Amino acid sequence: MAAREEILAALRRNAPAPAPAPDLAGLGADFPEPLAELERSVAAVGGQFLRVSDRGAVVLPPSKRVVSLVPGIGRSTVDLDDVTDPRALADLDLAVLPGELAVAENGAVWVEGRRLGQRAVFVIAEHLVLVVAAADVVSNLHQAYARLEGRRPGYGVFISGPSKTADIEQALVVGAQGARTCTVVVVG
Amino acid sequence: MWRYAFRVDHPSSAARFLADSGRAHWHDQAVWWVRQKRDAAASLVPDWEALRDAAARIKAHTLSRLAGYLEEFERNALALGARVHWARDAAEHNAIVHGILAERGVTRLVKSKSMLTEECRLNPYLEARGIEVVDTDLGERIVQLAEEPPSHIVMPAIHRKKEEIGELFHVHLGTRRGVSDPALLTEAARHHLRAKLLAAGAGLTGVNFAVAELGALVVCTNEGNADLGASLPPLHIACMGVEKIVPRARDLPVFLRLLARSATGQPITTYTTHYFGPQPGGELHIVIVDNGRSAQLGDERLRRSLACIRCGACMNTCPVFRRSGGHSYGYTVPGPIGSILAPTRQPAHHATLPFASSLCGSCSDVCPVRIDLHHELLELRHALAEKRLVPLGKRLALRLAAFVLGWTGLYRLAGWLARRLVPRLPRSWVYGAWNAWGRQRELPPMPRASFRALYRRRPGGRA
Amino acid sequence: MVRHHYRDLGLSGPRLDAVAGATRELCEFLVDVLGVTRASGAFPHRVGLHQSCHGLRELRLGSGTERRVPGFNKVRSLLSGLEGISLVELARPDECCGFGGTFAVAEEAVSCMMGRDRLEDHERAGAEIVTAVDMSCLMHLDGLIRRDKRPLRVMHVAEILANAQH
Repeated sequence: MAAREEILAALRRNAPAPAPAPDLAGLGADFPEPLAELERSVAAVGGQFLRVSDRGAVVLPPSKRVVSLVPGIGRSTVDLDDVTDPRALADLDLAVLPGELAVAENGAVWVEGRRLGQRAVFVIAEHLVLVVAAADVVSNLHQAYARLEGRRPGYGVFISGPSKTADIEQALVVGAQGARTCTVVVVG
Repeated sequence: MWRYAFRVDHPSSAARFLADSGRAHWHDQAVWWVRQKRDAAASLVPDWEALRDAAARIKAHTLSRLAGYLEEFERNALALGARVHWARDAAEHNAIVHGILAERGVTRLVKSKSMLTEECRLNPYLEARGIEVVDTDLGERIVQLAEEPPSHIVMPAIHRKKEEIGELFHVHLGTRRGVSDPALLTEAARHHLRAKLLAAGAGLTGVNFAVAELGALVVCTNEGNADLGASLPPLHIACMGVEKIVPRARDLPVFLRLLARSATGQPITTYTTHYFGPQPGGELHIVIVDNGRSAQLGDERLRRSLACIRCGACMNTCPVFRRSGGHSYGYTVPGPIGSILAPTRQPAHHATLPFASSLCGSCSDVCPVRIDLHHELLELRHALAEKRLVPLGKRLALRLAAFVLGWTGLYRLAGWLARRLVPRLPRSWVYGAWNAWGRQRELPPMPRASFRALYRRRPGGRA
Repeated sequence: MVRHHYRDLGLSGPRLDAVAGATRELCEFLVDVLGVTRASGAFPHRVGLHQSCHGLRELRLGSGTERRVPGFNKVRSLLSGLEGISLVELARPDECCGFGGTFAVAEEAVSCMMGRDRLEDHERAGAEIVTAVDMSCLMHLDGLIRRDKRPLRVMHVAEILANAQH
């Protein structure tokens, strides 16, 4: 492929002198109370925060079309295994998804998946509930990526609050094209 | 469709923009507010300067090994089932994207923010070949409907008032005339764009970071449209410049902690999506584009600006950008970074841009990857002067000034003449049309004597 | 300028090194070399401190509002030692005045809008006097003040420090 070889050759030819990669140790703040910080951050990004001792305590708003991938919270009305076209999820009211971890500094929850349709679920549902274990709350993103090292999901996404935009005169509007609400549930 | 075919005359465009003083102040204040949000967010990050340092070094390291990392990225992306294409320039990029769509009979494409595709002018290329292209970011859709280019890389419609957007939506989306509430307009756009997303045959996204060790793409967005566009249709096309590579996953948090805070003051964007290959039964095509980047890499005065992560902080802080508006730069990327990228690509066309700066240095101090923007602008001025792309009048005036300043006797004579004559001349002569300084300002009052003369007269003073 | 940019002009050698090494801006000389961090004397006026860009971001006379570093400002700390002085609180403490050099003429419209915006800020903050370490900023602002007949006057920091002695 001529283009590939030409581009790589040009990049090699024009490369500056080698510069070493920096040491990233010491970056990132450690919060003495990550859960309290997470609650603050989730509120700051427009989300809701709920702390429960066990999953059974979570009460969800009544919804017509639900996908829940968290045993014990909500009941799916749609089975993702039956989905052959993600567009079929177009009027999904509620998605309840398991988070591998949550990040206190920015209120983000890491959600991953591999199944067809699962990629659309987190963004097409009108309302989102993300469930994470208290032990899986880390202080900062460096710690988050250290924990995620070696994982190879089909996709993975940090979700921080509901979808939003400020494209019209800088006025913040929550519920742009994705979820209108986002609730982070910390269990344990 | 808009075109930047003419030479960009920033001073004139700027003067036109700020002639509407009320609007110019509104724009200035709106963009300054985003700078303030950035300040507030950065103040909550104790290791902010250390992060900037690390980001600058990761980029410098990556640029010194870019070919190797691109090969590693390609290997890993292919192993995940993605297809990888290479484009030397904008024409090849457009042809590749079109080819992918045409082969599959796709006639409806949804796009999320990609400055690269703006740079390559992809939209008009596809539209001319019968493909409907819908920009699904709210701001991008607004300017698409208004048939104008974006004026900011992060807030494309920052130059538009809500009443104007309301009118646009009334015409194109059928909202009621007079509705200008941002929440109502956003809701209308949500339904309009959702229909487009569901009807599309393919979705195209940009790439914020391409991780070499994973073969994964990272896309940072707030609205959700990019994620919908990449997951509803079975075909996902991702376009990236060669400089988007980061070596390892653990480099990502350095950039992610800087990006949204620098851009909008958020701790992170709503979605930070990592794509590891296509979805089951779907396709992922990655288009890697050079379009002048490898040449820029070879120029040691300008290569640092390849580190740009497109946050927009430089334009938010720039006192000139805020008062002249993004359109006055005549390039897809405006402001300080655009004033480096544009004349690097097309020197003659954008020769006024490096001079559209007072070199205040604020941009360099907010840049998350520590690009020395104002020094690069100065370097570009030298380069343009060497190519004789500075206006003749300016060249002659500066040559005359250098001549007078270089000859002590002549310099002293010029000073003496100015002190004797200027106060005696009629005002209309001094402040004639030729006197650009004097249009809105008084000249400094001529002193009675030169500093040397005053110094000599001091008791014990000597010249 | 001498310390940071003369080498870019192609100058080099031991003489340049000696001169560049010994060149200081007035306030940094007072603070860093003479160890005078707060000036003495009286200056009972409302003063707006304009942070000239070259002084702030090249010579690092102050920390600036962009960077997250421990706050310091050599010019401000000198002036704040003066008896009776009131340093006003600006909305934008370190935005550029718009002089820039040939920018003042080549981009005259933007330059003057920038200068006027600075002056509005100083007026609204209640300043009588606008001061700075850079004569070109002051020349540009003064030109606008006198054309617009604003109730302000400019004084270089050196003039204030000298004046305070009497």
